[in-house]
Amino acid sequence: MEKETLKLRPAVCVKVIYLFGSSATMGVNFIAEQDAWMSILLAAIFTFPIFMIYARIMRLLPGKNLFEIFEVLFGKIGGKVLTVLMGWYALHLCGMILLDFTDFIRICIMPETPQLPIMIGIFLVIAYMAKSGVGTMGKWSTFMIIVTILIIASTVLLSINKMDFSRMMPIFSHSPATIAASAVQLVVFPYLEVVTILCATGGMEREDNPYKMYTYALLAGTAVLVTICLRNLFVLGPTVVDREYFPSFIAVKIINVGEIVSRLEGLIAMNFIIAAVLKLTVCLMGAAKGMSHLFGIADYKKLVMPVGLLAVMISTAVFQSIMEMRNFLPIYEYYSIPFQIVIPVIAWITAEVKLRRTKNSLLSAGTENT
Amino acid sequence: MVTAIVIILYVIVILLDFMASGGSWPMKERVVYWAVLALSFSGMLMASLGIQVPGPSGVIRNIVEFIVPGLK
Repeated sequence: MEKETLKLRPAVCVKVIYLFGSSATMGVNFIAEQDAWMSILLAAIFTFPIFMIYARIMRLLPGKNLFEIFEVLFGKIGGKVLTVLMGWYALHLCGMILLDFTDFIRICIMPETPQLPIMIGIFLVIAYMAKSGVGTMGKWSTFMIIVTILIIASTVLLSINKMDFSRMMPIFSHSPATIAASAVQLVVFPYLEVVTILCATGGMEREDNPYKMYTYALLAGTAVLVTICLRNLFVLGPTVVDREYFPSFIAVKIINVGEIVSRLEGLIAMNFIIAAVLKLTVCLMGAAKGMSHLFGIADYKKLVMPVGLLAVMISTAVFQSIMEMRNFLPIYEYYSIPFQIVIPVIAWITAEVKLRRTKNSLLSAGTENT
Repeated sequence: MVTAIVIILYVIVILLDFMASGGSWPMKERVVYWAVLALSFSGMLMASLGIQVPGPSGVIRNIVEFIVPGLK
């Protein structure tokens, strides 16, 4: 199978954009209302050990994607079973993000346009990017992260005159249990969705440090999420943020500086398009690599188009409305745990045991020879 | 109109993606390609005609609710 690795900087950029992807417009989980920023920080703390496990897997088996790692660790049959599971997760996630993305366009920008042609348009973009390979995606992310950060920074600065900082008060008005529950939801969505990057890319260059990469990505991604959360909170207040489907879009919509700088919601749409394209490309690559690995096809790019169309088909059937998608979130928390935590942890433990055994057998063979 | 868009899309994909390089592919790759393409086409055609295709969410919901009964 084709080896596709990323260098440290593109790998961090891909992960950061991936982390705040949907949050660019949908905002961040707001169960804890004005204490949501604490939930994000707590979620980052909860996520850190899992990210270190992902990094350890990459360190133990460098240059391999998750599907190749499964085959090395669990043999042909076990590897195929896990490939089916992770490939399905990547494909299903691709369908859900695509629906979320087109829902945003349909509700906020083009209410008269049918959803399917919008999905097809987006599909063509992500299929092109997925066919271009991991290297192109990394370079694209390195440039686009500057654009997205500039957009977020400018929306924060321009909305200062609309901000009411007292909306953050009273701090700790929610119980620690509520804040922790909100943090757990954030761990599952968006933090640990990063697992699909393990499926899509063949790890990193050997000389780069995966622990550093995951730590940088976590810190930068959390900083962006906290910024988005606080901007929305200060501009709209907790009640409005909780009620809106796309609070970031609404928060930026009301920016008005001297009757000249206004109607900037297009910037938020642009941010969402950039982030969604990246997220969808990663998921599509993961699903196509999973399927090509399953059927023993050497080049995953041959399957990008049919698998992408399958993701579009899934997105047409996955939910009937945005409300149904929101209602699915509590189910998604449990549904995603096997893919995001259980399977990677099993792979990590197996890799540690197998590599230790190999080392021990090599050492004993060495002492016998001497 | 949407059905026409779907059909045109598949014609373009077959012409530009499969015909351009797929002629020389091994049989296994062709079978997988066409099988996945046919599956997606049938689903998208039904969606374009307004026929509701059953999605995976119901099954996932049932499985999760079976494992975690408190969610119901």
